[in-house]
Amino acid sequence: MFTISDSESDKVFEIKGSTLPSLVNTIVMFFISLIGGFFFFSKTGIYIPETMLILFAGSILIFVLGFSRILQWLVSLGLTGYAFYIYMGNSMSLSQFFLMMILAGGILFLFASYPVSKKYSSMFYPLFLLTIFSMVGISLSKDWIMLFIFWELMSWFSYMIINSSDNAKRASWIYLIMSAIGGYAMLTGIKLLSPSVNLIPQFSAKALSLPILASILIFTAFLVKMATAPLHIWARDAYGDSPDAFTPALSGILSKMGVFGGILTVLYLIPQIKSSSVILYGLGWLGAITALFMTLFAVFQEDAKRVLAYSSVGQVGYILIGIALSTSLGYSAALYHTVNHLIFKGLLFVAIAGVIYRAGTSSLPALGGLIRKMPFTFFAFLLGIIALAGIPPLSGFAGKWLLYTALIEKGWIFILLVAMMASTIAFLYCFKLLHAIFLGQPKDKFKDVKKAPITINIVQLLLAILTMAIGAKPGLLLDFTEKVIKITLGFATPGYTYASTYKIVSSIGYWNAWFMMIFVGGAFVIILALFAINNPKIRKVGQLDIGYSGEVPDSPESVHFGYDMYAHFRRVVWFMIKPVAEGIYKGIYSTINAGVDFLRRFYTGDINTYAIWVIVSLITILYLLNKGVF
Amino acid sequence: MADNKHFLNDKPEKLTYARVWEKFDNWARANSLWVVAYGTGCGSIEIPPMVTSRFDAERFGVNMVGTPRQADVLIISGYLAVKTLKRVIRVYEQMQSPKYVVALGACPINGGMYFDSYNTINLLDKYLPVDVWLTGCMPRPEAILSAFADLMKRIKEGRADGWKKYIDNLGEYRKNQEKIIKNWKMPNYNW
Amino acid sequence: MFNKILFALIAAIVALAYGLFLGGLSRKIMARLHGRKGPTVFQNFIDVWKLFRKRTAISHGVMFYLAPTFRFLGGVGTFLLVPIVFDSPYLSNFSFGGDLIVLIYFMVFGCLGMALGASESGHPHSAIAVTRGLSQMAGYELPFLIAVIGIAFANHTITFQGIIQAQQGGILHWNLFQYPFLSIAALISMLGMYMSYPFAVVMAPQEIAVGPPTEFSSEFLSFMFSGRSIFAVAKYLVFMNLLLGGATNLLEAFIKTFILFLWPLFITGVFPRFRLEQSVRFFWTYPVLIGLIDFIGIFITRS
Repeated sequence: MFTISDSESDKVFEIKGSTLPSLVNTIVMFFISLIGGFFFFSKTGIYIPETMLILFAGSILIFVLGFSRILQWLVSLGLTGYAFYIYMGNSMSLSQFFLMMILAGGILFLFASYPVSKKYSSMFYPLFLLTIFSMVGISLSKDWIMLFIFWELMSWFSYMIINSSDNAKRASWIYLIMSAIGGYAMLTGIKLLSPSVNLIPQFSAKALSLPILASILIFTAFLVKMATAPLHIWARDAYGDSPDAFTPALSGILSKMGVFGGILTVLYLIPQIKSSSVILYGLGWLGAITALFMTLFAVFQEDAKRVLAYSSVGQVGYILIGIALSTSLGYSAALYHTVNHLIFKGLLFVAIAGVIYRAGTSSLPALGGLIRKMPFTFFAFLLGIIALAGIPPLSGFAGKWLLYTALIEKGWIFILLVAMMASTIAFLYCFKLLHAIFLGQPKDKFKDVKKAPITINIVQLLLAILTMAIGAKPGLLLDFTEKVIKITLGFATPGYTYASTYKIVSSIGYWNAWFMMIFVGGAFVIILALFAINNPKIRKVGQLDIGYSGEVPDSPESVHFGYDMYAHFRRVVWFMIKPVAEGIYKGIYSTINAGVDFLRRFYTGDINTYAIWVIVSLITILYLLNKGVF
Repeated sequence: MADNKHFLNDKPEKLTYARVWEKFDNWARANSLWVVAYGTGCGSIEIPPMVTSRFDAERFGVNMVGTPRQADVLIISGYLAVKTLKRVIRVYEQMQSPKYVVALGACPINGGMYFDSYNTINLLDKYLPVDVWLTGCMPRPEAILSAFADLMKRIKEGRADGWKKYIDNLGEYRKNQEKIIKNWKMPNYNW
Repeated sequence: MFNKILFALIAAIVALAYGLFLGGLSRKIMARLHGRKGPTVFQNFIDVWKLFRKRTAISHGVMFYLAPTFRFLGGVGTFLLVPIVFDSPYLSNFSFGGDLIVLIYFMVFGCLGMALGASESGHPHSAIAVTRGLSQMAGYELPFLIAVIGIAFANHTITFQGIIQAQQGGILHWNLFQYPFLSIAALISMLGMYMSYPFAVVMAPQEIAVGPPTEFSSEFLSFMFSGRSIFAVAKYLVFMNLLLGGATNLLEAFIKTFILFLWPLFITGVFPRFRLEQSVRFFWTYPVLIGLIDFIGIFITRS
């Protein structure tokens, strides 16, 4: 389509170690930026907490330590942990909620990143920390300008991280362009909020004119980050080609910044529009369509990370529906799903990072049968998939229950239908991931695959326990969301009540989470006991010993079903998975390209032509001066 | 050779079952015979009429299943080529005990019409333990149903123990099988 | 609480027996349709016992070993979440545990377990069958959801108690007659749920040797089979509560589930099998269009 950067500029990201001149350079840069930053921010009246500057300085420090990946890892962990400790507080406002989520997620994913990041460029950890720094800035911001500044910083730093991966040049470029579109739209929208240049608009600023345009423009930035249709074209490749250690953070935390901004917009800006309920209904449909189509795309991908990429985008579509509902139950669902999605999607991406690190490939047809070699990873992955599918004893179900109840209460039953269909289709790719990676026939070349690294195992274990705990007692998470809803969002109740400690009751239904957990666990034990007591002689058979019409399959590849698993389903939905959005963007691009191509007749790049233009314009200006026009 | 020590040493008779259950179990096994839908030779032309409406084997509980894992009965219908014998052995070993073999037609008994062929076997009992022999060329569906009735009677009396014989004399059976199947190439985990 | 558990246990055992009995009865009726005698109505009991008492079994791994337990758990769990007799302290099982949304998602639990065991067996036919089953589920789930959401929104409740309560007061108050188009959509999707004949591509015996249970044998298969039977009874109860007004005593429950049992049976007897894309296309066009008539009507009148 186009060539992006040539190899010269790529070398910026391939600094493997620091030498003395660049060290001096870096320290000088550090001090200049520190002083400049203080000066700039104090002049403009934007308040930056000191901790954030420590984070910024820390990332420069980490860059300096580029010779040792372990040191970089430890220092980043320490800094993020320190920031988490500093910001732990009692009052749970919206900013605090997202801040805690960013830092906790950051700690977990940084912890899981170590052995996987050994082959990455030395800029990985500094950029990771800078991304976290900019996200902290977003959640701490008190006005739109500061939000915008840190939003752009976040887009820039995450672009650089994605770019640092080997074959992610095109993906990161498209990501940057889409983020830039969103960022400039947001700036235009902010300008519409307050016509005066010197005024820094607070979040609740009243728009003097065109509030609908301002809201749409500002919301565009957040929709891009949430990869809502039709702004989703960057998501698949950016998630799929980004460094494996960064993708959990990309899907778990970065996309939630869009959620944060979305809640701010819906809370403060959209009520200023006269027909706000229509706008919100349209937003709800946008979320539902995103959920449905991204889920459909995910079913047909042949790469593990791309399946999870589309799945992430689809789940954030659910969150958008929750925000668009604007009722307390809707916000409960959105906020609960925000954190829950971090937990189970983070778990899935971390597990995949471990698999790719050990098995060397992420392509679904190539993998297979890894349950025998990586049983612990399989079990954690299974729990993540069960949570993703929304099956009752685990935590994913609560988000779905809250959202569906909210949709019925508000009467948006068509959106509910689309959302539930998306959830049903999600089962398809859940099975695809489990079967093609872990089950089926193990290939011979994976005979010596080792278990996942210990850091990944620890993080997986933690997230899996968290999923089960929240599944048994959703109050663990709902207490926090309830506080946010009461404090920042201003509702009196969170939309549901507790009939007993574990039984949640809404106006139309109820659900007892702890009972479900006990019931499932207890029944499982009883049935397993009946099964085991019977005790026939159970013999474990070999890998290729299947009922194959009396024959023996000659290789695992000939009986592993891993490629194009849903060909029959594609024959039904082929017209829904055509890449329409990409086609539209390509059309826009070619039009602009053709138009700009026309300009090349004048802007030839040849010095002689420019000389002629200079002379011609000088003559013309002298003539007009003579005539007295100016 | 077959690497099956952990199973060879298991003597099913030593598994403790109360006699009362055993009688009931045998009655259940007799009344629910599942046949592998595997037509090994020309006798299998008589199987579809047996299970369809006119002669209705399902009223005795006889059912055709698609995989040996779920089957009890293997019908060797007609002549058994050496090539088929290799697959039949594997199918038999993939079935779960207790399992029964019904030899249909004259060919498994003494070679039948193909007694002097270079490529078929003459006595099935040398290679697989047979529970019920049924002569004829081809036996009609009513004859096959009477063979099943005989098999059911034997099961209920506890005399249908070909599978135990196979486990106990595996060495002998294997010797006979390997003598006639030239390219053995059977995986160890067959068993 | 102890009473509830005791009655739930007894109810589960009775439901299992009822499910196996209905299975045998369906084989008998199909045989009579074919003009032959058919097995005894207790044939499924004999089959399950025979499989359970097989002396040997094979296993392909941990998930394979646990799969029948999951399947049975899915069946029993779904059954226990549905009230048998409305408003009875003894026969409403554990329906205090959750409403219809919980039930719809819990139904997937058993299928998931079986799918995992089937795919660990390493047999390609099992995996193919599971993908077919999931795709077909995406097919029949759409008309089913139209019916459920329509009924829930119309009565402004999504609990069983609420839905049954709204149907009390005579036969004409049943959802079958109040929302006939939604009921037609639900009944057609019921055919997909039971994998009865036009939609039996999942367990297509001539193509993929039984489908997901291909590698299961002996007691594994007996647990799968029993799980399937009790799951069938659970679904009859769901449809009874959803469409036929629930039951106020045990006899009524038996009669109504029997009537529901006859519906897929009669369709199964006379149809051949659709391919997967044909069945999904069918589910997404005719029942959806029929159901949308009532759905749009409810949307307009209630909002």
